Amino acid sequence: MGKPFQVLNHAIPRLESMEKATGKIAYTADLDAHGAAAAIVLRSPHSCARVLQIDCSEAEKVPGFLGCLLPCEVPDILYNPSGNPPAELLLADARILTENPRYIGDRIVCVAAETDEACRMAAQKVKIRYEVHAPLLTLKDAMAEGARPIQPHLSASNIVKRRNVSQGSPDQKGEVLLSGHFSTPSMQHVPIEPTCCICDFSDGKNLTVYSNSQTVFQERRIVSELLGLKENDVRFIKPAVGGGFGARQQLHSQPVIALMSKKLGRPVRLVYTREEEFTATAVRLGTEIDIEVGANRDGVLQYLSAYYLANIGPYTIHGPTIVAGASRKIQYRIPNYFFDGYSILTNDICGGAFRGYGNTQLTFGREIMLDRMAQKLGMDPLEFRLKNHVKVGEHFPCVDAPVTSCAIEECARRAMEIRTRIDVEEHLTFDEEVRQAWGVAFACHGSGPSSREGLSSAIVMLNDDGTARILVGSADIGQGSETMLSQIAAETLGLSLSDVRIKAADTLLTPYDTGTFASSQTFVCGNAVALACRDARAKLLKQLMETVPEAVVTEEDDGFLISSGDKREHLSVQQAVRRVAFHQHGGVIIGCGSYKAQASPSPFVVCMAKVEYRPKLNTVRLLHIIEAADVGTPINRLSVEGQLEGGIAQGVGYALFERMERNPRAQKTVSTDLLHYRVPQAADMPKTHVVIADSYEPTGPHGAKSVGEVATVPVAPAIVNAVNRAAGTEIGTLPLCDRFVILPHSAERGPLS
Amino acid sequence: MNHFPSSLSQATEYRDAIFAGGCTDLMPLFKNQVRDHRNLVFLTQIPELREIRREGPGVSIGASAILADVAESELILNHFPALAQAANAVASPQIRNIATMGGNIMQDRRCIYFNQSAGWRSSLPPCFKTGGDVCHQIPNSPVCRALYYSDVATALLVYDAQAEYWEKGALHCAPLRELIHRHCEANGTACRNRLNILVTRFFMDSPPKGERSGFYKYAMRTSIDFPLINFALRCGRSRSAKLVSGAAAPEPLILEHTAALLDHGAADDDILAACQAELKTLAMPIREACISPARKRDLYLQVFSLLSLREDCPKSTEL
Repeated sequence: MGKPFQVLNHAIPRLESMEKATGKIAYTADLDAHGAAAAIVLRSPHSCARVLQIDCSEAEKVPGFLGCLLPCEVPDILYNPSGNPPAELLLADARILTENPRYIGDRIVCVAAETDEACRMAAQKVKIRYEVHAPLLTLKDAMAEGARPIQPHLSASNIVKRRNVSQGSPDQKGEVLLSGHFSTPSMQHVPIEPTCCICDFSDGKNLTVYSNSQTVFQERRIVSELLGLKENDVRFIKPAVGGGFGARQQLHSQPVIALMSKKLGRPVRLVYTREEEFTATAVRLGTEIDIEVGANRDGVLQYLSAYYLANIGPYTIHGPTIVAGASRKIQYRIPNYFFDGYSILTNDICGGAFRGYGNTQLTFGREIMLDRMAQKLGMDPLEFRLKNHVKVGEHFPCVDAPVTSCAIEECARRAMEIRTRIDVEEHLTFDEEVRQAWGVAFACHGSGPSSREGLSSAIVMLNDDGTARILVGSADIGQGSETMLSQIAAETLGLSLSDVRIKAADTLLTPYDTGTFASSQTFVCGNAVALACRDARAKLLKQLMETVPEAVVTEEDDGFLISSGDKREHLSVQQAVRRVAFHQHGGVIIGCGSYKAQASPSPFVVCMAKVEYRPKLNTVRLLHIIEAADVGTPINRLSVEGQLEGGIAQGVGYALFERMERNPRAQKTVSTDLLHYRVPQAADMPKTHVVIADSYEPTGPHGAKSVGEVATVPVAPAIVNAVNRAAGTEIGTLPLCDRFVILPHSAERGPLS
Repeated sequence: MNHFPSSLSQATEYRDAIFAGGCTDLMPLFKNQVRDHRNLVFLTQIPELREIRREGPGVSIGASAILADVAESELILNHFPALAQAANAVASPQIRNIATMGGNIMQDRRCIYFNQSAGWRSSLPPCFKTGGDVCHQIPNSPVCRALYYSDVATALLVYDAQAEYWEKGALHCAPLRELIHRHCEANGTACRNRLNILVTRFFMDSPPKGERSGFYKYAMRTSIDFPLINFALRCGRSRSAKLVSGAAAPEPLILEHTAALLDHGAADDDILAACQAELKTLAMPIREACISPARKRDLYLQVFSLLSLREDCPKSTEL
């Protein structure tokens, strides 16, 4: 692993921390778009309907009304709003505005006015008459014999894509075979910043879009195609973003707001309501999964099959890619592996990218099945998993690339140390009144798209005082990637962090990046930044040599050594840049790097959960969560710990009570605000313990792998495994509030205790 | 046009106005367009309505007293601990700093079909609370079945509180239970038939010396949420035990049978069984977010959290 890092592997507050803490940072809705009109998108209140009539006459009378944009006024083009680069699994089925709403988030009409209040009043006056159809909200409805196809141009049934991967023989299942059914709900990301965009297409020729986007270059590409523009004529800018989690990995309403801007000849601004945030963005796919696991009596896994049905909503967007993503994230040595996954169209809320990207759902079932198998075999669940875990040089099932780093045993050991300490301090009670138990789950993910389509580029420009400016196309969505990439640049260049400035995610000013998704920023963009910085250092060395043709110049970690006869002169990087910049044979140092991901090394996490179950009251209280993670070199320890803690929080919500609830009478969801949909708050969290294992990924920038998504993947199965042990149940359905009274961690037992 | 009277006499002059405290309950209703935000009369500028003071054999709490003050009042903490705990259990510190006692009592009953935006509701016919003639919860019900979620009401009722209010130009004083009953009943058709009452104060007699009381709220999360159930209990020596439960029906429930068992020193398990049975009879469950009817019934056992009052919890002192 070499010498200690100067800037990396330290706990460093984010570059923007103070601005965020003091409220100075500008999110999209904070931007002062001169003369921007306010817009509202009217959406269908019905899960399945046909628009019969749109009457804007009363809206036109509202003072300040500027205009309506109707379905007939926008290009009738099918497109896929996914922020992924073009791929076979991305199917075109969405429209900018539609007269055939297929779910309650579908856009029907856009209204614009001088002010937000006038816009609200005008929007209330627009009358839309519908012919309402019975929606297909569940997988069962959508897959029923004769069910109406929701996207008939894609498929005669609502099974729109199948993903099938396998290795080995279906007949070799081992001596012990267990099967189970698992059901996971759709879940919302709940970013605190609402979805928002400001579009200026006033002249109808050049479009500028400010929006909370994870994938600005993909969005530029799609919008250019939709509006018939060259990519050069479209500029996407991502201001500060208050949370992504996958929600902003797709276009939302930018196309319709761009067209409204063109119609009005002025900029237009749209800010989603919280209800739209819940119902008109995207959700983690709800799934129904059947899993079979087989092992020999000695505890060696032989077989795993998964039959995976995903409710992707009425538009494909990410659906088939998510199902595909789920298929290859099995971190155990299983010679006979079969995955059969289906993307099912429904009239439920649109599915989309969500931290974990299909892996979360399959890991949930798999890790519960492994627990059941360990119990069946009389083995310790941790030892059982370790016994079957892949090692460096081995392969995941159906994956050709070998594992290049893996510190799972250290993760397990360090998690156990914490667990032991907790039990020594607090005991592990198990009697008639109180039953406490631990559950464990492992998880892996990738460091970039598993299809290896991740592509990042970076430019580093050295100023004449030796400070550096980095340009990258990747988007910081609140996870701290700008700080992390600046650290990589500083470490690689031999500068201090304060000497580095970064500009990111502006399609006019920064180089191409596939986007912020698939936990790719550290590995893919980090490698691009490291390459660019090495390129800059190589160019600096070359130009420095040209300034002293008679001398020998040697590169050192912290600068350069110029040797000429007996004379030795050490130059720091800054001094070298300055000399080159102003020397008559010198020049400007600009490094560039482009990294096409050739690998997607997996981070690993061991998660343990301690719960307390009271049989008499049927209550469950979550006491502790431990996460030990192998992320390779942690570029910023503070950010990595933050990602782990945030991932735990999202996993706790998923396990306990987060769910988009369908209501049979309303034929749509009732989860429309932060009271009807519950996200755990700080006081609801159990005690969390996170540790970072010592690890080094040889293909990563300075040994780093990802952390973003893997952090949340094992949490729900660890909790459910603990509950199953405490309560003696075999639960495979989320959320747990359906089965137990969930007690907040900090809830008091007695009235004044 | 909204109004900010500085005295009670000014406030009583407004006709057909909506009286508002901290507006924390009303604001989301305005946004959802289920309540009219015009002609509001804000009562928070009237000093006498903010007072918490000793009065006669008990205390008087102004309707505009904010919940944070009630929760922290020494007078309330020492003599009416269940009320202090209930006030402290409402929503979040930010809400408690502006929400008032009167506003909490006169809050709208809630329902997943009612507490939605106009756009969301537009796919369903109007319900009783929005001017229609159906309850989406129980379509064959002749009345609205929305639940009343006040935490403070449950605690006030356990102390047999009285309410003082202006109605039709006259000052009245009546048992709070009656006022809540009238409010909850009228609130079921509030769009057509609003109860035009200005609540001014709440009175409670000092509990007998040695009486114990407490409040328990179950919500899935520690803060923000409305209760999924709450209980207030008093028990002691010189008067009968009283147990009240909220968030289980359109108005708070007095659990007399369970309270009688408490007086007779029944075992915990018997009390839990009695409470469960009594609530199964009296509660009127509806569809709520995040909880099934079966789990709601499990919550009836959460009265367990108050049973320790029979042994070692704070006793009221004489005023």
